[in-house]
Amino acid sequence: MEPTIEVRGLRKRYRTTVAVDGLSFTVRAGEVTGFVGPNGAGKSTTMRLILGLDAPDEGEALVNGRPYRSLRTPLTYVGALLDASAVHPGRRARDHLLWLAHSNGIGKRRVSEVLDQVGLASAARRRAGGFSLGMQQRLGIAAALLGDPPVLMFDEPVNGLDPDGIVWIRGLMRSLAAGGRAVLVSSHLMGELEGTADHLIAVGRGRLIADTSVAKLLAAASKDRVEVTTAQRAEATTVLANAGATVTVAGPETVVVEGLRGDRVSALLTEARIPFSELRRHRASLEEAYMDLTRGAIEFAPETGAPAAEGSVR
Amino acid sequence: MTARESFPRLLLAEWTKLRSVSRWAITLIGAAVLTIGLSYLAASGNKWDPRAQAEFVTGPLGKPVADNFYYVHQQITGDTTLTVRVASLTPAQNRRAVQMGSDQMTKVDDPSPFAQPAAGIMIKDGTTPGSSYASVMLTAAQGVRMQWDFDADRKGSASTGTRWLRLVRSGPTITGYESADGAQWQKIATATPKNLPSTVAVGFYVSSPSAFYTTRGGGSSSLGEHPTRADATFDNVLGSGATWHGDAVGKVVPTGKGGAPEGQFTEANGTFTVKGTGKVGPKQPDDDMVEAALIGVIAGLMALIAVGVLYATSEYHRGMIRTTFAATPRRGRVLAAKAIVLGTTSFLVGLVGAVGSFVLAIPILRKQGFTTPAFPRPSLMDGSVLRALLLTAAFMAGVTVVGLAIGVLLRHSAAAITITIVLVLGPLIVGMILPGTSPKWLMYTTLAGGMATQRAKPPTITLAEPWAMIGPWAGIGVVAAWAIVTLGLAWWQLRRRDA
Repeated sequence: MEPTIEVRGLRKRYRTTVAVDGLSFTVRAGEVTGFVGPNGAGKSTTMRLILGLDAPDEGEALVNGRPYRSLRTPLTYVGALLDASAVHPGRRARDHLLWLAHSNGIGKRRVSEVLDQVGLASAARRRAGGFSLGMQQRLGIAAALLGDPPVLMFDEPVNGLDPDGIVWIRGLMRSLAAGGRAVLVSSHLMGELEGTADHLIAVGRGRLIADTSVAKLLAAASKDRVEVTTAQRAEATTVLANAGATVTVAGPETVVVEGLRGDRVSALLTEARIPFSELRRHRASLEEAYMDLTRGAIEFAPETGAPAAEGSVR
Repeated sequence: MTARESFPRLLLAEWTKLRSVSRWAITLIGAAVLTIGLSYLAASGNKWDPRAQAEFVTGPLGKPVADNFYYVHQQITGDTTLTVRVASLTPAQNRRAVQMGSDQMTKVDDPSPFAQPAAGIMIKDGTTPGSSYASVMLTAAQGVRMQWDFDADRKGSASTGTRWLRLVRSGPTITGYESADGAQWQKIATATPKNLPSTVAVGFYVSSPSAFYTTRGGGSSSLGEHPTRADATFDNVLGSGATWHGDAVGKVVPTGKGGAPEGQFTEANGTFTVKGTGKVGPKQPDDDMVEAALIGVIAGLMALIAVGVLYATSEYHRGMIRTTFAATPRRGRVLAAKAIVLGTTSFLVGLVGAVGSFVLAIPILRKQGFTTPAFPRPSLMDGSVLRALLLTAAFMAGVTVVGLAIGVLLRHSAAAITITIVLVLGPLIVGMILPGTSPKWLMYTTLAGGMATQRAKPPTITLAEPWAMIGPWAGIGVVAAWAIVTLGLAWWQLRRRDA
């Protein structure tokens, strides 16, 4: 059976706040699935519900077809990084991994392996209280990898990492997915997932906004748009607008044309004797695509009054 | 990868958690050091009044005894038989309570068969107090009994009226009989007293233990002794026919006002009238040397409580409990593993502290007046000492586990530590102040009752410390009940609440 996370009709309410409101999605093997949404959208709550830490009011979350709470050695099924600072500051890195290993009957040797893998071998005997944010993050990732699980969940793993660390964790996630694992990674910044995620699950206010592959999303957002670089921006705008296109200025010498195909744009500009140095299909950034997708669907205004249902603040 | 979950591995995981935070490890060692250190220091400040030693003699088994009675006897060598009819026994009437100054003092009831006014016959290794003996007697309220060497007691008939008694010596053994009519005899028991030379004292006697009155509260206690006298008549004295001597064996108890209840005897036409006072039986001071050697336990306990609480509440700092429950979703097992690991560790720490205290403090206490005859040297191998040390360690472990459970319930270190400490110390302080036996119910219901585990001696109401009123098993039972109930509540909360 393919390793998966399945979420069906999940709903969770904390007092007056509905943190997760009827969420359903599937995380598939061999892909990095981005889990995006603004702060307070219910991402961390969903992860806690998947891990059986919180009990859902409705719906269910299954890991490899089973509820997490029924797993006897869960670390060998799902590795999760929820909050990297959740380590006793007086405990050495190695001891932190050691008790986790004991609890799931994982051998001691694996502890040294994951410490090597995340680059903490030299800090194994240091107390976690003295770790930088980045080192804590690596220790948290080591804990997630401990049971060599087929399913991995990372909640905002990039937080606190230096640029080297960010490159490293992206490479790690890609290689985990390439190895056939299911990887769910949350972020409130779409840009962080650029080039990493194969699939996107976007949530807002606890509801599903989109469940789509990144390739399709980008194609949809880029559709029928052509980017033209020309010294005569004003003239080009007039000609193309007269031909029925929507033209927006994207730079001092760049306009984006929507509503006309590339060959038609080229013909019109040539006909009008307007020189252009470059003409290419516009490729939307993931950020842009996401904004397109969610425009109007969620309010981005920061919530006041209602407590955010993020794990880190509870 | 082969990964297998098992409860022993979960125990190993929780043990790794406990030992890997060096501050906790240091505090655990500190708890033992604190226990021993304070016990040692407190021992040198403790003193037992040497004048009180005069009330005790050492019996043939090395234990402190009382050996006071009026003895009408003659010397006999070799095997012998003595038969006597106890015609009457008239004990003194004791008041239930007496007024002493402004204090209302209540009578200390001693249900021991050795603490009964009695008239009987006795074969004894001379008239030196504390020497071996065997006797059969008619008691005022507990029928006919046979006793020997201040230790053994066998029940005869429940008769309270006129009774025939007989002792038969045959070599090292003495057999006791009783009869209603002097014709039909029933055997009570056969005794082998420790020291029985060929020439022994044989005769009849009367004893009447003092009545004790006590008052306690306001942090102190006092004990008053009121000597009593019993009168008895003996007839049909069938012995060797030699002359009878009357002796008050042992120290005559100092008498109160209104004349001494001196022992004496008169004879008229073969009927002997004997007046006697005193007690023949075990007599221990209520002060407990083992308890006195374990004063530091309360200090070590405070350190253990802190570790127990932090072991729980640290999980809730920064959401570490999520890592724990993600690794082991069955939360009840996590709680059980925590309780077992912490309980075992604190038991061992407590045992090191208790044994260390005992070994170091006992020699100091002996220099401070805790000596023979009132206090024989306690040995680690004595059943009651071993029980006190093991149960004291169990008490410390139990309270530490209660701290763990309260930590899980409150998720707040300072509050949980305070509440657990108050649960132990609060009733102790209140119990010291409350008068009479009223603190007993406090001891039966709160963690303070666990302090009773420190006593090697039986419960008593004559001491200022309220935990002396209940037995050690009741004390450990209260603590165990608290541990079970608080763990149960914690388990219920863990299952119910989101992590």
